[in-house]
Amino acid sequence: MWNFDDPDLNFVGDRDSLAARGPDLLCPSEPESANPLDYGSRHVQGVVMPPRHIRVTSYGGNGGTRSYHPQSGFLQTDGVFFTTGPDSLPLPNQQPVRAADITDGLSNTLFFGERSRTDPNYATFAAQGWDWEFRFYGNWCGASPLVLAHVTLSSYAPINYRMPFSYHDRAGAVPPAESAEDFKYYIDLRVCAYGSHHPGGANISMADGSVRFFADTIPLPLLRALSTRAGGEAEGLP
Amino acid sequence: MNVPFRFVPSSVRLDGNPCCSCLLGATCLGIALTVLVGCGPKPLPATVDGTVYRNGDPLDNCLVVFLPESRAGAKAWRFVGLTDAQGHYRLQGEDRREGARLGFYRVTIEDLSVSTGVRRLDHGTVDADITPDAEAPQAVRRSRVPDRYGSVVQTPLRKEVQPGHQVIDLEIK
Repeated sequence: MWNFDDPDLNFVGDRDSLAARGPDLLCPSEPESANPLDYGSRHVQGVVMPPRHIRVTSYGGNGGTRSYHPQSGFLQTDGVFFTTGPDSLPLPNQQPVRAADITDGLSNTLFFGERSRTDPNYATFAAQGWDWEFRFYGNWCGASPLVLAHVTLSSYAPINYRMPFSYHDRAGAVPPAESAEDFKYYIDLRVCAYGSHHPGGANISMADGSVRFFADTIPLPLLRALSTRAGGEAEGLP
Repeated sequence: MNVPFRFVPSSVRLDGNPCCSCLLGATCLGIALTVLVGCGPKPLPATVDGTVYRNGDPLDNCLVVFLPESRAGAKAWRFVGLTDAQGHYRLQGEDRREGARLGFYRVTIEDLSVSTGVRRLDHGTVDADITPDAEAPQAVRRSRVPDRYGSVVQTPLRKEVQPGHQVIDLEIK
């Protein structure tokens, strides 16, 4: 049973923690298949964390047009899944979405989809310490607002977006990727992205329960319109 | 009936001895092909630059993104530009080739200087030792661009990219 009073406790106990014994929901075609994943004893803010294993998943809820980072200044809650409750972001006391709130139509609104956790160019930035390796995203649960990176996806990036350049080849990028601070834009772009290892697209379910395979060539205005629950646009599925 | 055409390099005669004038010709052809094919990717058919204004003032540090309208032939392209101190941007593709493809676009603008006032921490070792409490609070910076310009669904900016060079100024109201 999830400990809501002290969520960090759900991660205590390494392989015996609730976080490590969660559901095994990895796409069979995902090469990063270790599950639960070993997060080791990370050093964070002067404290050595106890060792952690956490189950990862290939799937995330529709977080609208931009579901990460809560402190980027660009966080949106126009999809179906976002933080709720007294400490929600960007505003407190956000309320969960009900079916009646999806006024764009259940068949025209994304519900949850898959992500790919491999990204060779991302690894070259992780090697500089600018973020951790991309395979560590995808936890099934979390105890801080950063859980948004793990359990939501959004339409900010095209489907199957991966870092288009490596650390050594980063010159001339717009926006620039010259520093760790610069790179945070790319973290958000990559973390968001729906994607898969299926050729040419990704599976995303709609709020009416149907599942469709979306080609990764779908123009972003259409993907974004489909990701909003009440955008008011008349864009339907082609 | 079609007889398949067999190409025999003219620089090598059937007895195996290359003739000098044919070798020269083949070398020139080789150089020409290298120049045409080997010198990098094909340029995009248009170049776009311009200035972002609000109430007549140029806006710096704004990310301009051109996203193709959902029409036949449109794909998941993004053409981006970042405004400099004079508010001037120049588009390039995701692969950093200068320019843009032809067609109709919706344009979004994001003010990259926004700040929520809370330091953003990520998972990498770069942020691992930063304790937000120990730092001076950061200033909240609101976006200088109204929210609707950041939404591809709500943005009023709809532009067409035509062949060749063009200046597309973006006025924020």
